Amino acid sequence: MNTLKRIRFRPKWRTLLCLTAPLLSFVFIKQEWAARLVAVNGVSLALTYLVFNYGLNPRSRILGTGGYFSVHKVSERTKKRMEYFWRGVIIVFGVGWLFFCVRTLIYDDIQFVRQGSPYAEHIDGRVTNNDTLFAMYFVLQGLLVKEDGQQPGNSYTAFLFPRIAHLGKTYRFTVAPKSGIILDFTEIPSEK
Amino acid sequence: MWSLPSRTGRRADRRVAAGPGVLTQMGQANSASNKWSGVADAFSRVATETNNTFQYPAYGHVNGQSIFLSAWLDNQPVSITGVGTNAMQWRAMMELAPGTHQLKVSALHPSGFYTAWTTNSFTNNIAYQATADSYDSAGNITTRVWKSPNGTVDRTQTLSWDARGRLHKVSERDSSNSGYDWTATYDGLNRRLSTATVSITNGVTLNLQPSNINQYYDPQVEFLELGVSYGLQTVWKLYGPDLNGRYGGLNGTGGFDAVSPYLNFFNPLISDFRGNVLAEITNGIVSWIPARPTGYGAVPGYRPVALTYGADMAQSSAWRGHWVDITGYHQIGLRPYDSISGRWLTYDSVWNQRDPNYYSFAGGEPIIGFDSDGRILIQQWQQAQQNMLAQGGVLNNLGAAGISAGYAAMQLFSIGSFAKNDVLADQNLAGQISDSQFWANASLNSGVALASVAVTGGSASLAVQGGMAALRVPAAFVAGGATIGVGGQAAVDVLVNQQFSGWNAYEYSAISGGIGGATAYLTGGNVYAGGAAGGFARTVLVQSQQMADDQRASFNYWLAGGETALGASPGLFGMNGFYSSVEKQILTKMENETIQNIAATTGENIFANQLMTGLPDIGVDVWKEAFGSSSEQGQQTFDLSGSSFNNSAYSPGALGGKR
Repeated sequence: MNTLKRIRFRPKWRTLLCLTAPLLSFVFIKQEWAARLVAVNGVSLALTYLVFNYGLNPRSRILGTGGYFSVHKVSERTKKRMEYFWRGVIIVFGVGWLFFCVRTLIYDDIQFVRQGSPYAEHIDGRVTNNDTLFAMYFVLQGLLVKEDGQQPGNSYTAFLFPRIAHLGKTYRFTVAPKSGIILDFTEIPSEK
Repeated sequence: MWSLPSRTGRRADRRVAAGPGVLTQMGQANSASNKWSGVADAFSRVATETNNTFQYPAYGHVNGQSIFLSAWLDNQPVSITGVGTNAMQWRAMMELAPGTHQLKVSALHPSGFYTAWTTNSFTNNIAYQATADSYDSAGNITTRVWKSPNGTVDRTQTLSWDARGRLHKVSERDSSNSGYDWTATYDGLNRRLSTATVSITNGVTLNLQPSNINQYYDPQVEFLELGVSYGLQTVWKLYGPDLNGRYGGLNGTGGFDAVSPYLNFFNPLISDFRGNVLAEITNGIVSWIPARPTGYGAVPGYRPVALTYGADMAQSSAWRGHWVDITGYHQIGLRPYDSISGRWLTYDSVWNQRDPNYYSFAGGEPIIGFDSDGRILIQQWQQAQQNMLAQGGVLNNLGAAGISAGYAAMQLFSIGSFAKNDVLADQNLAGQISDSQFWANASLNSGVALASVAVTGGSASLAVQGGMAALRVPAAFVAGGATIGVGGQAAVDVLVNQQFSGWNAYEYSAISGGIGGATAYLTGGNVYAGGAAGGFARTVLVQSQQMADDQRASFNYWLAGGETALGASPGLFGMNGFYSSVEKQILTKMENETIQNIAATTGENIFANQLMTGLPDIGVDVWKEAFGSSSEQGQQTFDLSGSSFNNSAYSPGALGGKR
């Protein structure tokens, strides 16, 4: 087990800082929904910057030296082409992210600035699915919420919640209407 | 007989050099009669047609009551419509060649005991009819005008399409402003649910008695029609295996074995090798169907008669078991088909080499093949998928799963985007958005849909055609990624859901993890790329399945983006550095010749790390550097998990790498 002792974790501090700094809004902004809106904006913009920086910056390392390249001889020209391909994929993802996600968030931001909290939508519904990756619910929860009598559930995204929206329970969600981002939720006790 | 258009008639940008090309002529070989010909426009679409066996209406009145009308032209049944039960006006659609003909029309008394009939002989002096077809910007036929050689307009059809490219209305008028308005409704899966036909006489709409036909489908086969109801009757269709040997494999083509017109009635059908229905057996009596099917449809003058307009289900389904509408078109799966000109009426957004002008039917080879749902490319994908599954093996199964994922993504994005166009159209009609807003947004949605089709089509094509490339991905990468995926799902179930999510969730997690592992391998060990690909694949698979199950109303782009980013996050926490440090230390020492070999325990640790992250490449490097050429292998024996592994089993080859 000597090898494991020599493991050095080398996190990318700048990147982590970019992604975690927006969480400070929870410290400085009292209203949780507003703090979350600011935090999500910050993380989204940081992610946009990181994606485009990774895809466009010529110094970013796209291809590793292992994997395919450790067992196949690949010319530099081919490597360059592969690198361009993966850069293209990253850029396409970035453009999609901007168009489908950030655009809707900016629209919500503008409306919140103009109308304030009344712009938020309040939805009472039962959670039928909570989708997250690696159980990192505190980062992201993809919720399917069904209102009364509704068959296909509406999909909302809960970012940066320390609590879990449990399956089968009914909650009152405060949602940014255009982007579908949940800003706050409270449980509605079931009537028994 | 078919012929190719000139070189200039083909799409030069597609470089269609071989293959049947675009159908521009049909008829008997070496004969001037019974010939259809078409001329392709700049887009290789048939825009003008000439036909010397053309459709022409005949009219008359029934003097008295009748419940059923039949018409024959030269002893061949033709379609006939009538309105009311008393003194009705009938309209028969004849298919005329130049020369002498006899039309016979009969009317059945409501009692069922009396049939009155009349005949009329006449001579057709019109040598041919010319047809001009117009297309909209989406490539759908919008108007068809049939003219006599002297320029008289004999008949017009106006075709309307909804935002999803489905034919929802056909208005046909002849020179006396008589005809019909035919409308269709579809479900969310693009299956046609019902049609309604309203007759029009001399410009007067007789909408008191629309003729409705309702269709019922097998819930487990996309376009397999199980029953049809019209009037007071519901006819059920009984199927065996289709021509490809599977139930519903060709949406009933070749498998249409019998009809049940009423309760406790069962009429077997006699079909030929290509699925054409030749006869119906009723109470032990064989009734041969007068239609003469061909590859593209039927011999002119011997076409199947429209369902409920002079023909029952079996008679109308003579060609390949698919019944014909009063419009003269067959609805085959997703798209309407015109058997006279032998082509689809809609543009196929997915180009393939066998469909050089986007309208070709069955790749120009309807005798040896059949397109049972209007999406021949999808069939090819499915066939490739079946082949891969049949061949077996982990990687083939993964490739087959990749095809499924690509298809699901294509459905998801294209249908989702086109569905938005539906909403936009409704908003536009309601005056909520302007025309310019509608077109701008609809164009954007269509662009997204088509781009997704292109991307996913390309991906699936790569998965199939690049099978060799896929085989080079070591199984350990895929297995490692799949392990991570399954482990992640288990963590979600334990910590978040606190209940079992179902096998589907684990299956998708394993598949997406495998995709992530393969991506990491192909990017030379880039954990960001691998994780992101795995996260994206997972969200697409899970969300598309939920939409297919009617559990999810729409695709959540935030979730997709978030899971992709979250998938890449392990790279941030030093996973790259973790392996790089191990690799760097060992390899540097080897390069400096500080060490010649590594300890077995080091090998164990590295191998464990490989399994944990799906990145066994470093191990490949380590062993390559540690033991050099294969001739040197066998000198070391590693003890792993209590079992002994010699180098031949514990070598880069065993990890999937190549020396």
